[in-house]
Amino acid sequence: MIRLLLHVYPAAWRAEYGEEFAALLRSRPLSAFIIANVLLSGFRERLRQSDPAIFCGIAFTCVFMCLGLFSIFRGGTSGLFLWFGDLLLILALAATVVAWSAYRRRSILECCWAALKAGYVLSVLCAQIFFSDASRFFCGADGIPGCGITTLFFRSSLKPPLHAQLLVFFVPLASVYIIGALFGWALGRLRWSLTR
Amino acid sequence: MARKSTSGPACDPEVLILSSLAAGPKHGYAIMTDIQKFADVDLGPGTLYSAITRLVENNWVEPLHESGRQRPYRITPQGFDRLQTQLERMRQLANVGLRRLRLI
Repeated sequence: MIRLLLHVYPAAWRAEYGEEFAALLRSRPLSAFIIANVLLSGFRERLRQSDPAIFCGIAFTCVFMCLGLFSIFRGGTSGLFLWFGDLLLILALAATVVAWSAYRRRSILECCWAALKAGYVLSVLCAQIFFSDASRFFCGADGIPGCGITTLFFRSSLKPPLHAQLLVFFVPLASVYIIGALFGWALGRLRWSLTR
Repeated sequence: MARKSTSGPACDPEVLILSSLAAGPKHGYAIMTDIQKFADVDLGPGTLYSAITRLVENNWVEPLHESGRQRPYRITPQGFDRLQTQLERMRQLANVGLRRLRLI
């Protein structure tokens, strides 16, 4: 339980304070107050240490996801509503691409992945301006494909395998987008934990 | 068990931790119990370590490089200045408030 709670905090923080914090948590019974206190503090610490551009991207994506879910429950959406949701997705992706490209460019593979993402954002932007149907095709009018892709993008620092990235990128089906994103995330996470 | 209020200027975690460390170096658990004793405030472990992180970043507190799981912290000269400034301000505020309430 304590190990799980520690993982709410960023890795750098855990490396510095993890051991003594765990010892402090072991020194008294874990009440609901302590668990809530640790969860909240860990989340705050993550926000404090995260890049503002990524935080901005996450915030936009959260808004987008809410709008997407709202559109699903409504059972239909107007053109203006879709346009607004897609615009938010573009902003979210752009913020993520900028942040990721600037701070995580370490290998050729990562540069290629950053370029693909930047290309994706540009293509969505162009499609949004010139072809509304194509925009729906790429972005996902119901909000779900966008969520899947964006989830993968936010997790891209975990370096998902290239084939998983390509699968998610080029297969134009909402369900495949989600499955691919989850698959890529899971594999990337596994690889990350094995190579640590 | 009813929880005590942890809001208000006298419950600021940074001031409480600095006040605790002003008496000498302590590790996390000792800081927590000391604060509970002298201020009657229950700081959660998350709140305590968030505040310690900020204090260390601001160079108001520094860890003593000792081995073991419970690393002690000590207040730095800058931390002393900071604590003094904060307490002076609190005293001024308290004096004004008490005077206006006609309690002094």
